Amino acid sequence: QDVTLRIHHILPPVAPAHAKFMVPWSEKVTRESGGRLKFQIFPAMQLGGTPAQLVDQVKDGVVDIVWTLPGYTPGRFPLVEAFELPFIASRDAEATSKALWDYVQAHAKDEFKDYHPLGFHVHGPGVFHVVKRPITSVDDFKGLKFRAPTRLTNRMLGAFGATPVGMPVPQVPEALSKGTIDGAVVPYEVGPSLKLQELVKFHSETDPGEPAVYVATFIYAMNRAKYQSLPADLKKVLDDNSGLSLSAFIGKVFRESDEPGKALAVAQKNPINVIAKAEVQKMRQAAQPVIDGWVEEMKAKNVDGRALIKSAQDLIAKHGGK
Amino acid sequence: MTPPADPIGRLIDRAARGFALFGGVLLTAIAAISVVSILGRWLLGKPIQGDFELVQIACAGCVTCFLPWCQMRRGHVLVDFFTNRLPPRTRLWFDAAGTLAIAAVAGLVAWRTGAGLLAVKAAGETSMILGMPIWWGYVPMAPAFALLALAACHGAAMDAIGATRR
Amino acid sequence: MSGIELGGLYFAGMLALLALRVPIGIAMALTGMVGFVTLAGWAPLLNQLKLVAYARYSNYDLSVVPLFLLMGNFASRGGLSAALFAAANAAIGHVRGGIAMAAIGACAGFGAICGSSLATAATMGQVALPELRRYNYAPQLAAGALAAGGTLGILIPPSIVLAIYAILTEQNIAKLFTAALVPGVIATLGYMAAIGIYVRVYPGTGPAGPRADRAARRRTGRAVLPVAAIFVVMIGGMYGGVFSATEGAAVGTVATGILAAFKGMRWKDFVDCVLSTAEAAGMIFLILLGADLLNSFLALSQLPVELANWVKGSGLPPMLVLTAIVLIYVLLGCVMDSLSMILLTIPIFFPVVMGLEFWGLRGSEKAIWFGMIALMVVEIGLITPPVGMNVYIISSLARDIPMAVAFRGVVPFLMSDAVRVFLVVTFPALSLTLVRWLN
Ligand code: NA
Ligand code: NA
Repeated sequence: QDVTLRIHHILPPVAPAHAKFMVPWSEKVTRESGGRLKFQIFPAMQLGGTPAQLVDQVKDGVVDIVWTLPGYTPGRFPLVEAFELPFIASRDAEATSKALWDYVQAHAKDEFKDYHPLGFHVHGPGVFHVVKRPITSVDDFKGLKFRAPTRLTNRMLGAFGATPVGMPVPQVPEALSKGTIDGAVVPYEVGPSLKLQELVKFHSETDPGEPAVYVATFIYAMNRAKYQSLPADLKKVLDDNSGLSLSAFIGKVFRESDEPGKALAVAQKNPINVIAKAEVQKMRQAAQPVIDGWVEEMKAKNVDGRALIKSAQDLIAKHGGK
Repeated sequence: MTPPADPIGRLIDRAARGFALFGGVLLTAIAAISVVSILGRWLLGKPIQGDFELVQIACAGCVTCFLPWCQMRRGHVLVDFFTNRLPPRTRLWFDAAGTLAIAAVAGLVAWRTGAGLLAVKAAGETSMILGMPIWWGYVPMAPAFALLALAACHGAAMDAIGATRR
Repeated sequence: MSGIELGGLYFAGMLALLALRVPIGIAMALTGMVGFVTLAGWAPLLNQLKLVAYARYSNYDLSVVPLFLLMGNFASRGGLSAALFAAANAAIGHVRGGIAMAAIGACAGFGAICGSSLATAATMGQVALPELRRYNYAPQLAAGALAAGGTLGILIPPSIVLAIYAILTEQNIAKLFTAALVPGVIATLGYMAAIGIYVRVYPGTGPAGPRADRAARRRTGRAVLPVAAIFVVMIGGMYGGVFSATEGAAVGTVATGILAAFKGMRWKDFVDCVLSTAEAAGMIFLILLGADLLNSFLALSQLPVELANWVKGSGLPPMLVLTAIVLIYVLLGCVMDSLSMILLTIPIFFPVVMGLEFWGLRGSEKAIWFGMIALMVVEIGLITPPVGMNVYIISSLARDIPMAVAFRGVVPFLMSDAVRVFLVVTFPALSLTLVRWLN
C-alpha cells in the first residue's frame, strides 16, 4: 500500500536544508520505492509547536519525520554535545557528520532509543559576524554583545569575555540592525536567510589549520513505530537512504552551502579576516573551562567525558577531518 | 458581571481570583526581569542571563492562570448575531451547551498538559542558558486548565437553571 | 477528499458552532481537533495536545499582549488616557469625527512601539473606547475605528509579521521596515479619511464639540507631557538599540505603572488592573489556543497549499495572478490569523511572484513591494467576519456593543483598506522610494 510520511522542520523552504537536502532526499526515496513512499514536507514549523518540541512530535507520532537540533532540548541528548564543544569538530562538515553518525552508533545509541534516526550531521564551522569591529584576537570580544546559538557557545562566548545575549532567531536581524546586539556566531550558510551580510560589517573566520570554533549537531529522525510498521521492502528503501551515507550527504550539502553564503559577504565588500593561529590558541585556552565544565557535568552522570571527546576526535580524524 | 451568589460559585470565584493574582505576580516578574536585564545590558554590559527563557516560562504560567478568572467574568467571547432574536431563556440553553464545551475542551487540555508535564520531566529537558527544568513551566498550566473546566461546569449549570446574572 | 473540500466542510461545521453561541476559541479548537483526528488519528491528536498549550503560551513575542494590557490598565487608572483624549478634544474636538481620528493617530503612535496587532487593538481599545463613548461617539464608529486602528500595530513597523516574511524570503528586515513606513502612514490617513467621510454620511455618529480656547489647549497639552515622555523613551530606546520591540512592552508597562502610582494608583487599584488584564488576556489567549489547533489542521489538510498551487499553475497574466493572491488572502483571512497565512503561503506565492513581470521591478525591490501587499492583505483578515480577532477584542472590551454592530462599524475601514491595497499595488514607488532614497 502507499504510505505518506509527513516531515516537519524549522527552516523556510529557501534554506539549503529544505531545498538541497530534504526535497531531493524525499524525491529519491519516492522514486526508489516505485512511488509507494510519498512525503509531505512542512517547513517553518507550519504544523505548530515550538522548535524544541519537534523531538516530542516525532517521538509521539504527531508527525513522521523531523529535522531538528538536539541542542534545542538541553538535557535530553547530553552525549552528542561532545561535538558541540569549542574546537572539537573539524572544519569539514561532511567528515564531521560521518564521525557523528559513527559516534552515536558507538556511544549514544541509548539517547535515541525512542527514535528511528535516519541521519546525524553538523553544519560548517562557526564564523563571527560583527557590526562594530573585526575579531582578530580573543581580546576583541570584550564588551561585545553576542547572540549565541547553543548552550555551549553561550558559555564559550562568555569565556572569551563577550556578553552572551539569548534571543529567538527571528529577532536576530532586527536586534543587529538596531544595535541591541553587536554580533552573532553562526556558519556562513545561515547568513543569507538572516541577511547577515547586510546587517553586519565584519566576518571573522579562524585559522584553517585549526578545528572549527564550534558546530551544531542535527538529527533527522523518524517515528519508531511508523518505521516498524512499514513492509520490509519499503523499510529497505529507507535503510538504503539513511545512516552513514545520508549523514555524509547532508554534511556535504551544508559544507557546500557555506560557499554561497560567504560569496554574498564578499559581494557586499565586507572585510573578511582570518584569526591567526597564535590567537586561536589563546581562544582555545580561554575556552578550556567550557570543555572541563562539560566533562564535570558528564561525570555527574557517570559518563567519562574525556573518553567521549577523544573518541569524537578520533572518529573525525578517521573520516579525514582536520 | 457580578460574582456568583451560590456557595460553590463563590468558592470557584475565589480560586479563580487567586489564580489571576498569581498570574499578575508572574506578569510583574516578567516586566521586572526584562527591565532589570535591559538596564544591566545597557549600563553595565551585564544582562540577566537567560532573561528571555524566564519570560517564556513565566508567560506560559501567567496567561493560563488568567483563563479561569476570564470564565468567571464570562469574558470568553462568542458570536451573538445569529441568536440575537431568540428569547433569552432559549439563548441561555445554547449558552449552557457552549459553556459545557469550554469545560470539555479545558478538561481535555488539562489532562493532556498534565501528561505533557510528566513527559517533559521524564525526558530531563532543560532550558538553553539557565538549565532550568522545562517542566516547571507546565506546573501552573494543568491546574489552571482544570479550574477553567470547573468554572465552566459551574457556569453551564447556572445557564441551564437560568440563574446566570449578566 | 481534497484539502479544499475537507477544509470547506469543516469550515461550515465551525460556522455552525459559532452560530450556536459556542465560544469562539472553543469552536476553533473543536474544529481543529476533529480535523486533526480525521487526517492524522486520535493518538497523534492526544499527543499534540500534550504540548500545544505550552507552545502557544510560552511564545516570547506574545508576552507583549498581557504586558501591554496591563500598561493600558495603568494608563486608564492613572488618568493618562483621559488626559490624552482631553488634549485631543481640545485640539480637534470641534471637527466632526475628530476624536476618532485622534484615536487612529494614537493607534499609529502605539503601532510605532508595538509589533503586534492584537496588543495594539487590546491596549488602544482599553484606553480609547471609554473615551470615545464619553464624547458621544456612536458604538459602531468607536468599535470599527479601534478594531481597524489595531491593525496599525502590524502595518507600522516594527512588525512581527514582516520580521517573519523577511526570514521566509531572505530579505533585509531593516529595508522592509523602512518600506512599510509610507504604506503605514497612508493607512493611518486612509482610516482618518474613512472616519471623515462616515461622519458626513451619517451625521451624529461622531459629534463635533465646541471649539476649545487657547488656555484649555495649553492646560490639556501640559497634562499629556508624561504620556509623551513615555512614548519618547520607548521610541528612543528601541531605535537607539537599548531594547528590542518585545522588551519595550516591559519598559512601557513599568514606566506607566510608576507614573500611575504617582498619580494616585494604590494597591487596590493595582489589583483591579491585574484582574482586568486577566479578563482580557484570558479571552485573547483562549482564542489563540483554538486558532493554533485550527491552523495545525488547515496546514495538515494542505488547503492553503492547494489554493496557492492552483494560482501557481494557473498560467494567468501577472496582474491577475496578483489579484488571485490578494483574493485568496482575503478568503483565508476570514478564518486564519495573519502569521499562519504568511507561514503557509509565502513559500509558494513568493517564488511565483518573483518569476513574473511587475512594473519592471527587479530582485529585492519586487520582494519588498510584494511584502507590503501581503502584509496589508493578511491584516485585513483581523477585521473580517466570521473570525476577526481585532473585532472580537474590541467587542469583548465593550460588552454593551454587540458584535454585529462592531463588524458593521468596520466596513468603512475595509473600503479604505481596499483603496490602499490598490494604490500600493499600482504605485510601487509608495513602498520603494524611501528605501531607494536611504541607500
Ligand atoms: Na508596529
Ligand atoms: Na477574518
